[in-house]
Amino acid sequence: MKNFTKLVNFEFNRFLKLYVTLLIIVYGIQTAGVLFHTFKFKKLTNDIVMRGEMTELEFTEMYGVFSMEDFTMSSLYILPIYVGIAAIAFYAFFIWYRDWFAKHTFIYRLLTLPTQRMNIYLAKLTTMLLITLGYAALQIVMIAFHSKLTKWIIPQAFRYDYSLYESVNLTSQYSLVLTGNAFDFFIAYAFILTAIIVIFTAVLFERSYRWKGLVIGIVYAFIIFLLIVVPFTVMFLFYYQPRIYPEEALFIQLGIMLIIVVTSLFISRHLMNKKVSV
Amino acid sequence: MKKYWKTIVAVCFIIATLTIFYVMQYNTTNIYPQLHMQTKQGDEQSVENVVFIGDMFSGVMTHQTFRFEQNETKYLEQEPYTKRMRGYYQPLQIEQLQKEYRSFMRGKLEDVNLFFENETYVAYGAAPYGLWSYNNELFEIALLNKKTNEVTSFTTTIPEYGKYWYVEPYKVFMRENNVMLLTMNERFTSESEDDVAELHVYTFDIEKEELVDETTLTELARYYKDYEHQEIEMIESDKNNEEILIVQTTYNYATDVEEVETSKVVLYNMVTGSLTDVAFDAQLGVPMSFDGDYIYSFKDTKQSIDMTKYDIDKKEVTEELTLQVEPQPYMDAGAYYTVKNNDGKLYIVTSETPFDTFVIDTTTMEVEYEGNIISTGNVNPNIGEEMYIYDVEIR
Repeated sequence: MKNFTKLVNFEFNRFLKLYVTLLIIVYGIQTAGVLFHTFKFKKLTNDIVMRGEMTELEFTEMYGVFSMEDFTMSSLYILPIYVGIAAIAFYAFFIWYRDWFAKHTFIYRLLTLPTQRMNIYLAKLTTMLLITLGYAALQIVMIAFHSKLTKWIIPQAFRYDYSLYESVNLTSQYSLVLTGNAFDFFIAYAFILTAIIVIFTAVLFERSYRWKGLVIGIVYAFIIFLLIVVPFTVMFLFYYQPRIYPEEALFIQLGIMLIIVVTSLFISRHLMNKKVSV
Repeated sequence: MKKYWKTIVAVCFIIATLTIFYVMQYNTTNIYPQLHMQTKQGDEQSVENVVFIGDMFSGVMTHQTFRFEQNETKYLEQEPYTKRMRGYYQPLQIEQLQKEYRSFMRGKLEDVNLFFENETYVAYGAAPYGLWSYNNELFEIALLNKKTNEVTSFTTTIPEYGKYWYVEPYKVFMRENNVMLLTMNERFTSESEDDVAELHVYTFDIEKEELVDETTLTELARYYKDYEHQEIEMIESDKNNEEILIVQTTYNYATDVEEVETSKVVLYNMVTGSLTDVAFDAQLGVPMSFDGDYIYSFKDTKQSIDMTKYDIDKKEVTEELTLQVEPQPYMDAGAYYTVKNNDGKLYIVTSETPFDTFVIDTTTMEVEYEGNIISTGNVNPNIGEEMYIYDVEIR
């Protein structure tokens, strides 16, 4: 356990600088987007209402009120989210390859540590989860902050305030890492965890068998992808006539994911202990 | 310990933020407006078995479907995950059928018009759109004998399906041991012609598992002009499973106020197969309910709904009733409302706040209950918050 904790701390700190930079870029651009849209609207109200061309009511009837939708739909808000998610997904590969391809082949030291090799795997997995959950948690804080920012700039008569829960639920782009409901969150993270584990297994295939392993890894990931989408594919193929009730599709899906996770962990353990070499 | 501080801070931040957010969300039940009945007249028990279904709009993009019954408002978003997966509330009848006959209901479209149920049978008839072609090419017929649990199901090609834009089933019924399907088939026409809707009755022999008869009941023109269009609606009898009223309505919206006129009314008896033209005066309004003997038609103004009870046999209006409704400030025309006929009672609810609600005894044409559905939260249309009720179901 101590070795595992040390490894997690080590892995997390290794990524921290990059991670903080990523978060500053993502949320910096988002905040700039929020400021751009709020001040644009504020200028509009100043130009029209403050000069007496319209009453507040006439203005809101014609232009509507300002709400989070005015900026959450903009590319300045959405794109950074996907850039962040793409960067985290990329790091799921990089967290392994940097050990092999860094200046000093660090994997030598890792694999010769007096600890079970699976601890290295689990530490990397935990780090990936921490990174993803941290990204989601900060998104909640930033949504609250952006909402507050809007309240400071736009007078109440011209804005509509969503609750934090509504704000999180507002647009589907959050649903990849963040949901408005605890059960949805659990489902989303079951997918995310499965995806990370499958990526790790594919990487270990490649590291174990090189070119042959790359092909095995790609085929493995593709088969997993097919397995995951099967229940919903069946459901959606017959969308108008669901042969599988939605709740059945969900339970089949969770069952399949459990099998995938157990199988992948088993394969990864075998590869880590017997096949991976430097 | 000191060297772990960054990781510890990160873990604490994640746990605290996510826990606070989801616990707060779990404890917050009233983030959307809650509704309650406000009785003006009568006993609230009259609406105890009524389920009002509507949408709550907030902002520009967000809307939540809700169900209101027995003074409790439930939003789809707050329902358990498995209930939310469909993205809509299932009709109560479908919910009940799936609960009782889960295996039979598998793979059936969730539309109440496609089912027929009596003491012995549950029958299903549909013309589903093809997976790849988006055409109705096949009929799907299924019959469950509730006593023996025996299921018969088969598909058969829709005769001359290439002639039609679509074939839309409106009613399934049984005559002797045959399953019958009443459909509206929209025929291909040239650009210069009006669209033609053919009403067909298809008869399926369950033992032979084939289509044995096809009857064209009538053809009704329907058109779409700049400011006018015609629609055909079917109203089932509340009292029996035998009769159906076919109503052709013309909608004119040349002015700000939409005018609705009933062009033709036909009564079809599904047991005898007889088709009778009903002498119905367009001045009486739009037929919205029917109980075999009487047609209940409605006309609306900005502040009232005028109801007429029309005796089909005597060909005369027997009773009239005017219901006062709250003016709907955002509508130039009269009120929009939903009408449901069930067990000798008419349930009427206007679509916008304060949701004037009436229960009318159709025998005496007296108002049994009158009230409003009031929101406890602030619903402010000036900032995009609006609530609508668009359907009523009876438990």
